[in-house]
Amino acid sequence: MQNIEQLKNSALELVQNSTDVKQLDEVRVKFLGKNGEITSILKTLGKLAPEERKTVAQTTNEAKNAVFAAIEAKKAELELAALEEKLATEKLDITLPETPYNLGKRHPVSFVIEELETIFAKLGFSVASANEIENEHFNFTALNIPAEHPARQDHDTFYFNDFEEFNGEKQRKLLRTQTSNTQIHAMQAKGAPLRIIAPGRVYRCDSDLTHTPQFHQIEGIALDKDITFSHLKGVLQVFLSQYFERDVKLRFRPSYFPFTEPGTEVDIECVFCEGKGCRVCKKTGFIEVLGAGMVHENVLAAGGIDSKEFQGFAFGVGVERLAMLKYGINDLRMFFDSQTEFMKHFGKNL
Amino acid sequence: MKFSLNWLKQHLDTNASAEQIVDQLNKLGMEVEEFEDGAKALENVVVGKIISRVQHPNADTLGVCQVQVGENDIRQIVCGAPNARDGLTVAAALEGACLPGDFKISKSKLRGEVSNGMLCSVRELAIGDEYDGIWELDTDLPIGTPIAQLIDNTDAMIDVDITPNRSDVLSVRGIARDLAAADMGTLKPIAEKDYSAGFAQEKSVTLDNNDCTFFSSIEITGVKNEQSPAWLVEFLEKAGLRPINTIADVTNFVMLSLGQPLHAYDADKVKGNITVSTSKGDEKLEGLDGSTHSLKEGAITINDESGIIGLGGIVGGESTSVDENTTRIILEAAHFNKTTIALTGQALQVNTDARYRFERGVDPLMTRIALSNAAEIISELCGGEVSSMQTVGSDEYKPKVIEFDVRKMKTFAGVDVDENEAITILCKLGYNCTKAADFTYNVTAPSFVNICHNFADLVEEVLRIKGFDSIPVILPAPSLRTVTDWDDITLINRRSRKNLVALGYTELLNYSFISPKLTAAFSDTIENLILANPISEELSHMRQTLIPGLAESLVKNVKRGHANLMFAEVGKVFAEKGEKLQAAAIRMGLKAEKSWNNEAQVASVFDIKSDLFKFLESLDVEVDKVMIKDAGFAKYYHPGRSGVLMYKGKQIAQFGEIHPFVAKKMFLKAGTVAFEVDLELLLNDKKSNNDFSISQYQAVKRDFAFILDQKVKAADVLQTVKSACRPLAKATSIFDLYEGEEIGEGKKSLAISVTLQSDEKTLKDEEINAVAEKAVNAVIKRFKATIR
Repeated sequence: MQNIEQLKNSALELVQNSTDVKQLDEVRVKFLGKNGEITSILKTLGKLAPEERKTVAQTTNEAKNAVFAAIEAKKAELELAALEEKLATEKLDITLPETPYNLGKRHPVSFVIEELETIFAKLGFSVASANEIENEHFNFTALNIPAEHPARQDHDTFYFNDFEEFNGEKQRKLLRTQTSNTQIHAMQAKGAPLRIIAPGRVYRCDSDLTHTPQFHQIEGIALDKDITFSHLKGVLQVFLSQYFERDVKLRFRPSYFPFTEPGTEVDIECVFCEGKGCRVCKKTGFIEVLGAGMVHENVLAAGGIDSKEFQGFAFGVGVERLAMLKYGINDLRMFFDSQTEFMKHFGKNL
Repeated sequence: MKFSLNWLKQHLDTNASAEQIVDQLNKLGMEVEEFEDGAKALENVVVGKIISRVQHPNADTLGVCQVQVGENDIRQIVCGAPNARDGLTVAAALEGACLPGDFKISKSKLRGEVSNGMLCSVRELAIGDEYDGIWELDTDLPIGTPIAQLIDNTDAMIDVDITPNRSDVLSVRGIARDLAAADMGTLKPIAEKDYSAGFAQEKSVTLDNNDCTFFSSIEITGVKNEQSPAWLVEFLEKAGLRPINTIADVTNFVMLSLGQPLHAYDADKVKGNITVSTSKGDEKLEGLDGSTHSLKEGAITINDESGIIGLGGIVGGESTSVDENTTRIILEAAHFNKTTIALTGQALQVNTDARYRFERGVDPLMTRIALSNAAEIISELCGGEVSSMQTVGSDEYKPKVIEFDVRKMKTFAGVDVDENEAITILCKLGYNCTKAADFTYNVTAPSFVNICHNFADLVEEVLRIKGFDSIPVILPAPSLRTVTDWDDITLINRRSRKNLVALGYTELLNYSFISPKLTAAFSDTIENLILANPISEELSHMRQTLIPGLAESLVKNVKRGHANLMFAEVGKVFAEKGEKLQAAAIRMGLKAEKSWNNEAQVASVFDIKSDLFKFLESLDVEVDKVMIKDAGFAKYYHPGRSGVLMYKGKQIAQFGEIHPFVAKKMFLKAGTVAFEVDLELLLNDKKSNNDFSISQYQAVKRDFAFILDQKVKAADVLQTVKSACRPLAKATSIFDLYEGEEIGEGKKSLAISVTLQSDEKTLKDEEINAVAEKAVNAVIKRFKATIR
């Protein structure tokens, strides 16, 4: 018995002193191999007296397991050390630049349009679209702006030397000056009740620091039997608060658009000074953001809607203006100047 | 419309402050665009005396002045004016002052010297135009006196934006009337002076045009037409008008005060009697505005016996204009059809204050008052004898009766307004209301309101006075149609933008119009797509594809030093018949910046083709059904390095290298590659929910190399292999392409890999070999190929 204990201890000592996997394997063969010293004892068990056999077997097996476990542990230790040694030689300068990549950016205007579509979807508005080359009927006459109306002049319209027949009249073709043409097309196509918004590109013959000959608007219209001016206020309150991600204070001023009655201009409390008055809001504390009103009965008629049965509101908002206010862009012309630097700074990630 | 508070107070009896009035104007629908409170602008500006001036040590043009501004108050102020000198009495703006133009004065350092204010010029105080130097005041003025006490500059200037429907407030009196209705004061009465005892006019007036319904005139003899008195000049200048002479100035003053345009003729220059008639076209008028107008048929003309002397309601003629030698005048106040005025004005492109008012509508009941009022002021200022008033036509006012159910305030505007309150407001605004039934009134508008056609107009009038703030904020109930249907165009538009960005492209929005030169380089010029009135020639032709704009964007950025660029756009393109939504992408330069581990690789046509396929697949196009043709693309693509994609029988896309010739013309780098996709052709291409299963059996790969004639198209070879291996072919690829001496001229070697897999069983070697052999034989047979 003492013999076995000594044998175990010397085996464990050899295990501990092994410096590589090969040495360790030699230790294993010496003690636990087919003819190993511990294995040999186990082989002679049969020659022992039964009582003796039991205790010797137990001691020897314990020794065998202890040596085996020690070998496994040492092996893991040695392998880890070897791996660490190897990895130490593989160290890279990880501060070297990453492989170059391109990250595309969304244009802020198209990004804002999508933001608005999402907000209005929650309010039950579908999205519609219409052509950018229109005729006078859909851009003006149907919107209660007859030929002699002073508002026609205010629109700085781009015209083509091209006419098309409509309602038995020759209508001059033009680039739409407002997305409101969608109102008529949507009414004619879908009838009432109706809840749509229509984002799109519009054109005005005007170019200076604060005007570009093209820009984007979102038109909205809601028609039903009981849609009131109150609802217009509600929808705009939700829309602008959601867009600006805060509870914005709105100011409704009476105004005039030929296609609405009553018409209103809507100001938001200045997002830069919170109404205290600053350069951006010209010290008024408010910034004009959109025009709206109850749809004029003549417009409903042009859209084929019976104004005795249906009523509702419409609004139109400039997308660039909203983008500038929310994202701090101060030069309108940059939107259409295709500058890489602008897009890197103001472009949106997916 | 610009006016001063004092002018307003000639018509409005009010104790309201300028701020209160500004606020109320906004609430009434007259947006205040500019407001300058004269009294405020001069706060903290006082009389001071320069005790000493020494040269600024660090600036040649500046002086450091010690300025006495109070008994024991001497301040150092740096001043650059050439006339700043010892002993001068000056206007000193001290800390806290805010000069016109929102110029705040605070303590500062100028080139290292402390400055406690500013010595002002007349112009800086907005009380005159001089700016050569600082204002030199009387030396005996007490030091410290507020400058506001020296000049009557307490008047506030207000500039309001009047919307086209509000012709009733295109006058100071109209604005006063609206403010009075909103309880901002009381409208002062105005009287028509009775000139019936005056002498009879020499000239008669005949109306020979229905577009002139009323023509009133007064003759004044023995006038002296000199410069206007200071008060009149000031009123006009503040309103933004240039003073001319007293008579012309008075007509303008009365027009701005009362809203009725007036015209004064030099009676001695008018030959014979006056007739209002209609232009037959091809007539000319030398206008008072200094230009010659070629009249269109239908314009309203004022004629004497020699011909046209004025364009009624728009502009007077030079030949009968009043000047400093005028002694006898005919003063006209008339009424013209607004549509005719608008159309004539548009056709002739003449913008005058008269046209502006007539095309919006003028109060018929103000005509005689304005005329007598002007005669009264002229005779006061210029002397002379006033004739009796002569009128032709009728100034009768026949208002339309509108039925107004006051309950509409609730059902249309959503606001509870008491019946009495609504009717009281309308009456205050001058409306005539007669009860017709419960809650219902017959309402007629006053003569000065021109756009009042239906109940909605009346709702607006009540709301304007009650205040839009009184309308509750309510969300409409959710629509029963709870599914928000984004139309297909919207969806593909949005997905396209996102997917292009996901591919690494930066999204641009270029102008929809391009230059004629760029158009010619890319497409045929189409007459219908040329703007009649472009902003400039550079932006005159509607784009027929997005590529020119994208290419130009590249050029623009290359000029600023960028080299490797990826741009995309989704937008409308225009054709002779209609417009469509296109998505396009362009890339130039390296696929990625050269780097320590990244070889410089130029983006080639196969990279753009790869982007195109990724893009199409991202839009649910079944790309394995797409056929490629190497012809049929636009002329701005390289003839040998471009292609078109056919899908379900339609040409959905084209791609390739930009034609070197086009590239050279626009200074675009050769080798630039692009694609464009007609999105509207993909609209109804929704992916169906095909059965889905994963094969449980092993896939095997077989590789073949063929030597083929160089002209054989790779796509055809692949297609042949695929067909031969159907239905086991899961994927095919070309993993090598070789052309060279080894295989001989005119030949190429294609190495093809095909992945075979069955959904039903593990393929046995014999089966695999049989399929492979079939594929090889098919290629050999179809293309006269040999196995390499």
